[in-house]
Amino acid sequence: MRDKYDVIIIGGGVAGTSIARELSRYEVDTLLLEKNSEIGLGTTSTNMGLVCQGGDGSAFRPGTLHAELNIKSIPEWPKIADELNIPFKRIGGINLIRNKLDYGRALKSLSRSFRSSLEENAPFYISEKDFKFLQLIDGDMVYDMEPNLVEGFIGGLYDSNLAVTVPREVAYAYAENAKANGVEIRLDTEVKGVRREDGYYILETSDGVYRGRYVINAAGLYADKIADLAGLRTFSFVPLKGVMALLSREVGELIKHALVILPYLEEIPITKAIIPTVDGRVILGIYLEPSVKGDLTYDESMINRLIEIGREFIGDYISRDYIEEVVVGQMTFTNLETGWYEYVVETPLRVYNWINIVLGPAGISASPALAKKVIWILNTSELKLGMKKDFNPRRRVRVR
Amino acid sequence: MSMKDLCKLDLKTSIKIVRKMIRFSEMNHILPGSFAVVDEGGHLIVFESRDGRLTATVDIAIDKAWTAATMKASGRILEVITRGQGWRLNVKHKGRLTIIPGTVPIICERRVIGGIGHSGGSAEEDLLIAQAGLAALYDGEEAPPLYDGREVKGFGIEFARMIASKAIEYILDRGYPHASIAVVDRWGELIALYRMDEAPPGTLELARDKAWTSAVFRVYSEDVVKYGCPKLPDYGLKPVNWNERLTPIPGGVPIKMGGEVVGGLGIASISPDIDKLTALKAIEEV
Repeated sequence: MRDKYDVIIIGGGVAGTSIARELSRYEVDTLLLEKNSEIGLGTTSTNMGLVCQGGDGSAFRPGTLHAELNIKSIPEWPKIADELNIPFKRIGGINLIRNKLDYGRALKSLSRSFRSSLEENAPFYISEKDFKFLQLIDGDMVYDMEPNLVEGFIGGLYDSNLAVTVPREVAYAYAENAKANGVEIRLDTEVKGVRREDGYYILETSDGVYRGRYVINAAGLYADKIADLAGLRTFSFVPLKGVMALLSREVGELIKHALVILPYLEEIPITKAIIPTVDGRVILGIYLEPSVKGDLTYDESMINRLIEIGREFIGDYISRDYIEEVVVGQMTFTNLETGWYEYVVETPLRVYNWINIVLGPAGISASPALAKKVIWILNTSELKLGMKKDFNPRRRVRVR
Repeated sequence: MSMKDLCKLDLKTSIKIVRKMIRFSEMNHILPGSFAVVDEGGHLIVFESRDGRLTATVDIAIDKAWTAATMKASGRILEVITRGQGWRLNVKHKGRLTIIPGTVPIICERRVIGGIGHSGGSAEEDLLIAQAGLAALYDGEEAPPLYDGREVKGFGIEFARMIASKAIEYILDRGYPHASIAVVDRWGELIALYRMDEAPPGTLELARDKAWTSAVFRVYSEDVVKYGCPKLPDYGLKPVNWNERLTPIPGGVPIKMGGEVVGGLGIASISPDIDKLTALKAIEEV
């Protein structure tokens, strides 16, 4: 254990671990602190596991950091999945269209995704070989692709890029690879106080005192608390509770693609989605509700609502009996009052060696580009990032 | 804390929201401004302003909060849906409708239970601060006391908190009817206003008027008639444009420091005489 570190990352979720892994490419002493006794127990575990989202223009408003990081991550994912041996399955997704209103929104999505990705002069261009363009498909094609859907859909917006992974597995993989490349990881270490002294941040934790020149605050739901301790909070968010149901393999056989119905305005913030998992099951969700930090309760009405949502997709195939597990978690959600959520990756005014990070929906998907963005920010500071010669990008396969 | 308790926007919760906003504002070195929390109907529950605030921000903050609660939407959304023409709607509402960022509805259990308004910084800063208030509702921390007992230097927001907490203590102690408590500076501009949980919304403006009257006329609010002429109807003191807050109802008491009037305290409940008693008692104690 060293006395001083170049960079200390607070938080062992997907944001913290992806940055740790990216930093392990360079000659810097990095420490990662995690409050829990395992990696990825917070907001990371609540993610639905969708990656390579870029086509979903309805949620990805062009010009936001949220869109930028997600779109830039699309080309990275196959490489990362291969290097780190993460389960990764390209399933494709369909935004289903019920009526003219949906059709209008689908057209809007289409134009937005085009604006933010493929156009040469788009703010974050990715090449055509990494990103297959979205397609508007008609009703017949929808039922060809998904024969078990209930009747009534007149078409869909098909996104062939969409893939699924296992969120916590991603965080594990990042962390293990980072550790193998020299990043120190301390579990069960909660940050209790932050001081500034002689150009170092002094982090008082439940397990000793750590000094770091640079601090990356990626504490997820508690990022605001940590930033408050340091007096460097520039953002606020509301914890949004999500309730999802994990359905058994019988239902999993009926669905091949990630299916989404755009909710009507009065139903927001509910998201209507049914998503096959890597292991052949299905995630049904997602009931969303702003709630007090740490509140992980759910009741019958929420489950019934989920079943109703499921029935909008595949009718009576869905019932209580198929629910294997109910997953409840919280995610950070900025701009609740407008619903225009946005990521936060920024250094507060007048301070150059503290980075606040708040991800939100689709955080797993954005993690590769997030890590690169943080490195870019660190590169503009006085921290010298020299390449490590013996960096090994591959993770040893481990059977758990 | 369950969601049910949370969705009752009471004085305690509102104080927490305002304090978090003030903390955020100080942390980010934003100019001192005004902070308001209103209930579902748009009536103030808590108003506080930082020392050195621009006095014009007082009503902007209150009107922003009112807009958020009654339009049930954020200023940013209203900007978009009115396509920048929102000011036209103002004609309808005597200029109250304030479609400027920093206007955030309080959302709980899928409905709007109140509004938050901040004025004092740029539009972006106002929005960030108002959002900090919304986040405070959900952070699961204990609400701070109205006045934490720290030493007060001079007349300002800390003094207003102290005097208001004394008045509330006194009212609760004696079992008097719940009231609204307003503290204004020597120009009659609002510094802080608190509405107790069972005080009807109508008491708000009464309390503010009483405080205004006592502060700018430097007398107990009922003594303002001495400035008038007994032969004229209403003593010739008709509330007109410049003095529409003028009220001769008892309950407003000037606050004096070193022999000089520095502000006014106004308390309004169903019985004005008790209000005056409470106000005098609170001032006596501090």
